[in-house]
Amino acid sequence: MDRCHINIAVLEPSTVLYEGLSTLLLKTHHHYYFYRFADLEELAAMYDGTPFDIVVANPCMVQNKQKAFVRLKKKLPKVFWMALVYSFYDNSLLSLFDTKLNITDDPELILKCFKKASISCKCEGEKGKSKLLTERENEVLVALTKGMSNKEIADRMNISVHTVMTHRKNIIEKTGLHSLPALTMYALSKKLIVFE
Amino acid sequence: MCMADLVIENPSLLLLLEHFGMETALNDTSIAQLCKHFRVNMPVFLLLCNLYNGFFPQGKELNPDQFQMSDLIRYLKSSHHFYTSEKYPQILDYIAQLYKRQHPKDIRQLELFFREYFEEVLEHLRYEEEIVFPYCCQLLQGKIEEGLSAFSSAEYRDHHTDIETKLVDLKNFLLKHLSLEGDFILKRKMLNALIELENDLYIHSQAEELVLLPLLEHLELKGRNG
Repeated sequence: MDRCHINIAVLEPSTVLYEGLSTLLLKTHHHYYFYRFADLEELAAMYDGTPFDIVVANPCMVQNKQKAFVRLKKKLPKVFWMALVYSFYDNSLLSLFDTKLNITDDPELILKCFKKASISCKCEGEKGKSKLLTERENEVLVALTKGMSNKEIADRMNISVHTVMTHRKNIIEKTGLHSLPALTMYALSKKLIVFE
Repeated sequence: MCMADLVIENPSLLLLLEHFGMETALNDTSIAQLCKHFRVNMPVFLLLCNLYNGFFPQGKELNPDQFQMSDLIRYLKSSHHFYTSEKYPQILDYIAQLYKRQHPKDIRQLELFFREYFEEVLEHLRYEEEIVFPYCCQLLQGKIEEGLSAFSSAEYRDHHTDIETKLVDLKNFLLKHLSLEGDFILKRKMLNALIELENDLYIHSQAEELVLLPLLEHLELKGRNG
């Protein structure tokens, strides 16, 4: 199974739908990371901070902002764009997306759609390229070597405990090291921490 | 098939011969002849050969009445000796050689890691030698002395921990993350030693889990039913 993570940006006003979708996806144990945005402008302002792989947007967030949306799409050519649909929209609006999901679709179908999108995204394209830890994973690793708990790490990094656990899984997967003393040894050898 | 052919197929069986003190020119000796000559229970020996060849017995395949537990314990004790007096000093010696030649901070950490791990292993081995094996022997003789009367196979099963994970970590760290410029030969020797130790420890723990424990449980049941 591919282990690299997929960053998903979500533009959906309904919290119930956002929570439902993320819960459904996290159950698959694929490494999906979720980022929720209030509107298109917020996403546009953030795009160079986090390299998103998939954007899931309710078309209502794009309505009357087609030009801005097209500009953003051009800036993010590798992103896979999904429309999350639960009311009627004009085809010209829906055609701006790579695919559309209907909230009444079978969950299996929705999962397949995400899997397919993951394959087409850059992460899968880079499969096997690098097993180096990402900056965030390095941060989690250093915190672990200091004896911090998942909760403490989550609070400090402003992420959920679930995300910390995903980082930990990635660290183990990439380094092949399971015990804390071995991970400390790794952090020392990579000069992430200093020997005291 | 004679023993020599088996060893040629799987050289790690040499270690099994060593554990039973079967030091001899193998010629065309069969397993039956070898076991008879060295007074080793053949079902136990064959079972261990199978473990070394990657075949692990399932509960139903074990016929407890055929197995001489004392020979199994003899094997386990001998492998303890192999770890403590040969493998660990060998690996520590490699680390010491590296320490002289490489970045001391990295290697110092490696040494600390290995010593800590070895302490855990020693604790596990001591527990078996001081409690489990004496209990097995007393159970075989049909009289449990006072000091061990509270012990049982259930406790052993709970205590039987996995001591291999850290060894895997050490191997992965050495192979994947530690750059030892100019010391490739030493790295190879150390990795080979770790891999040999890892394999033997695995078979050792399988022998305890899949053979010794079921035998113990069988004996306890027999004892209870008179």
